[in-house]
Amino acid sequence: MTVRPASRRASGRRAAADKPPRLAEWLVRLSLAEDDLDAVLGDLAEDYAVLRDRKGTPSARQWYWRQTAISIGPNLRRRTRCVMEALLQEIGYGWRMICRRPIVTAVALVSLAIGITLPAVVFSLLNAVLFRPLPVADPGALGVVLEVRSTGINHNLPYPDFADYRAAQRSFADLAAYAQQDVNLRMGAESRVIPGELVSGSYFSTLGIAVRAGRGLTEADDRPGAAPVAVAGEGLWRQLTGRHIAQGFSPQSWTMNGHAFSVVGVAAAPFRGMFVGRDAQIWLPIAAQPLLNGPRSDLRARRTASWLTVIGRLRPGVTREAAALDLNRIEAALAPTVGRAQPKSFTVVPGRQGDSNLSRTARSPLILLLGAGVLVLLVASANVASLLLARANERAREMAVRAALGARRIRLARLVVVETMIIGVIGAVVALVAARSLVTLVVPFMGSYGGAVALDVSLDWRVVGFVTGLGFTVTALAAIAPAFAALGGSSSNALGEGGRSSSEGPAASRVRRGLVVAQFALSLSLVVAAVLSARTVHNLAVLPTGFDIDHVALVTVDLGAAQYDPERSRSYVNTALDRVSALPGVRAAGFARVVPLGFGGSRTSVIVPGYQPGEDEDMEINFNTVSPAYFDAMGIRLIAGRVFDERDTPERPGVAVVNQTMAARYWARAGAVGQRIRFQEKGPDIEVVGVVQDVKYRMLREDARPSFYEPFAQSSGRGGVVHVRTWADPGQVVGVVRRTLVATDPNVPIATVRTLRDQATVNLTDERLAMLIAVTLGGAALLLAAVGLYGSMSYAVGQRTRELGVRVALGASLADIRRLVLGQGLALCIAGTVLGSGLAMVFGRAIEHRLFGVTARDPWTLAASAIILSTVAVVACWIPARRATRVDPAQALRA
Amino acid sequence: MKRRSRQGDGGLGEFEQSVLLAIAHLGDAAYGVSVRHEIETRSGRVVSIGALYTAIDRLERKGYVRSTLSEPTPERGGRAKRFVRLTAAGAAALQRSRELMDRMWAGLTPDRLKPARHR
Repeated sequence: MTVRPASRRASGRRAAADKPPRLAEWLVRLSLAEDDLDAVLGDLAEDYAVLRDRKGTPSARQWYWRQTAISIGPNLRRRTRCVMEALLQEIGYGWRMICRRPIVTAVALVSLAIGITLPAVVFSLLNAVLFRPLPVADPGALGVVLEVRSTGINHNLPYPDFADYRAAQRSFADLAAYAQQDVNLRMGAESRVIPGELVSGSYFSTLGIAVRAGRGLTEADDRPGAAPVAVAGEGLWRQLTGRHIAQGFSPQSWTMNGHAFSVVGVAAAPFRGMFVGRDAQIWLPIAAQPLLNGPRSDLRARRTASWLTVIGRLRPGVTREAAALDLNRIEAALAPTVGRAQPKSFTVVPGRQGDSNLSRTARSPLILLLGAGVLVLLVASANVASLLLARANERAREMAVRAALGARRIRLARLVVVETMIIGVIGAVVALVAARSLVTLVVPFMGSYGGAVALDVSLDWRVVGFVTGLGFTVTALAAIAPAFAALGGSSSNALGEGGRSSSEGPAASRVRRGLVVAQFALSLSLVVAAVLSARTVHNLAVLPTGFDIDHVALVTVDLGAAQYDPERSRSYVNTALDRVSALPGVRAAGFARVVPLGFGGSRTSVIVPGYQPGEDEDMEINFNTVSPAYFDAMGIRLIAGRVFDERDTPERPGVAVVNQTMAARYWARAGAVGQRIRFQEKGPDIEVVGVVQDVKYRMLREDARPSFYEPFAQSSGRGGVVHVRTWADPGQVVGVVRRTLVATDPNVPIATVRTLRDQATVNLTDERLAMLIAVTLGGAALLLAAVGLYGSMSYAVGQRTRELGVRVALGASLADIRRLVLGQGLALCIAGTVLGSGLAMVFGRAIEHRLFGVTARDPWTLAASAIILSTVAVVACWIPARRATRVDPAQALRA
Repeated sequence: MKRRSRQGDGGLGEFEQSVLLAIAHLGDAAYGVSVRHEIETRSGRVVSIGALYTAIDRLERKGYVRSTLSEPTPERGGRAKRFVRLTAAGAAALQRSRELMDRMWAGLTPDRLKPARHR
């Protein structure tokens, strides 16, 4: 009794020992393709049994293990080769299938290429703006020093602070400082404004900027009194010398802001300064700042002027947090010695892109656009899915035959996937090439506050990875439906049809119609976005600005570069204005410091005696410095009092003209004329002598805010813009105005010449770009949806040939048939529109804050978009409908 | 599957020759186990099953052998055997290898096989 369990265990063990070692068997099984399992495992089992009987279990097991060990390698090699061969074979087969239906393939390919190209373009921009590091050495180790204030982040530091921190800090290999500085470069008889940077002597070495020829700037160049030197960009060097840098370099002397600078080196081309999107072409030492901007504007000794971006290369092993603590410690010791009551507090942020303003402002619009691009891609992938589905259906018989002959269903599904992947890969490659050339076309439209944007949008691994990823995702999505059709098709059905062309099952046709509805729904939301952005641009463009926008030419004269004192500036301006106003075709000529709609301006805090500001009321007010004729030259209407005239000289008490909003805000009851304002508590009174209508100041979108004008004659103003109002097209007089100004004083460089209308257009750059892209995306989506609808209806008509034939035979008129097809197509479109309007509401919220004069839920926009969609749907259905009317009943019934 | 015949190309490797010769010796009875035993007994070397099937695959692709799966047999744990038969092309290839070797050996006296003195 007691023995039995033990003996059973023993016999159990023997039974296990009869069989080959299970682990080894499992290993062999893993290393083999399914087709080989029987032969190999069978051989092993057979030999094992023989050996076991002859030499006993242990040596048989040992043999089995040994065979396993020496066989796994060859097995695996053989298996991968088999898989690769099968795959190649499938790719070849898929390719032949694709080539057999060139039109279907072409439509799928074009859809996919368009669908991938658009998001790829947006991603290239996003990549350039957000991800691509600056072309400097090891950008990952850079950190930007920012000051944290209770009110937010201050991005800039004063020069003396920079110098002190640099000397005392231990966390960075070195610190460098830089600031934007445009210079007026003499090019032959002309002067041109070149974007450049003022940089510390440590800039080139700290950032590791490659120099193509000559040398970078050094500490010695940045000492006070050092000879003025500069480093040029490759592009500027070629422009100015007419020679490529490869053709040799020798130091040259260039005149910038009226001073001779020796160009000692040329920076290698990819480097365009530390501001992403800005095309800096000249680098000058900070020591040259007073030389460039005039001795009175020397910023190097001022502890209160924050104007430099400070960047450092972290020492290995030092974190950004530790570096910030180091700086805070230095500041804590420094603050009392320089009379700062409250020490500053710093943070160090990643500096791979420098301190990029563009990444901050362009991030969310670009992400929004990327989302819209992905919507287009979804519309495109629906097309591919629909086409593949149709083809899978056509091939249902072939599949059924293959399945009946023993092909495994998974293998058939693999065929479909392989075929789709081929289309996907070709589509992705085409998209990559197209995106690469398209994106360079888009960049010039990306104005950044009026200035041109220079972005490096060449391909890199991120863009290629993104496009490849999109291609794979989309093809995988598009292959789902047809692959399932291949997996699930019932063979008896397809075979039982006795050779008649296979017809689509209700499930497949539902999927197809669903895809078209989804396409129209997605397209509607994109078309709505396009219409909304177009209306926004239109609303802004027709917005009253308060000035005669179509008849004003603007000529910027750089009195700062000429380094004239106020008196000489005034006399130049007076002479210039006299001469210009005397020109034929000129109605009036005025002068002003600030051009409207230039995003910038001057602000000053104002004290209004007798007015008690609210708790958080902003008493900083926009102002402009203008000559008497300015109001006339801009067509700004006088409402009360007077504008400036020759009485308002420097010797007389200060006067000002205010706008309507300012008059209403502070002196609503009493009237503004004769009232007084002050700039400082103990400053002199300034008398308000007139009220003029409101005009746009910085941008078209702004609401009317208080602003005032001070007379140019009473200001210390130097630089500014000559405003010329003409009777006819201002574009025709700019040439002669320019010549007149140059003749007046050749020492004063003319920086820019444009019309006020151009200025307004530049002001709308962002909105226009958004519109351009929204219209492109909406149009592409609509086109793709139309192709989808067309394909679907054509297919449906083909499938229903017999039914249509019966209808005609029973007396249906051609109009009836046409109505039937059009009606079905329109029904899909309308279903999509209804679904899409819900979607449009959701997406509309994302762009609401970018709209102007129209809301995201605007019913008219929705109605207009729906009409556009329906029109496109009718056009897309027209050809299939016409084909339906041509069905010959006799033939259809016989088929 | 592949219709292209590779009769003309290349010679046979030593192992391939051994496999083909074993198959020829065995005739109708050639399958994994018997081929391996044949080679092992005649050469005294241990043959890995993996390497054997790799060679058989290759020979089959070249058209020198043809293989068929038998019905499953109980002594093999219910698994089928993969029988291999020499094809006419395989026989011809063996013949060519033999002739090539014979021609190469012809007239070679043993004294000529002494190792060279200067390496």
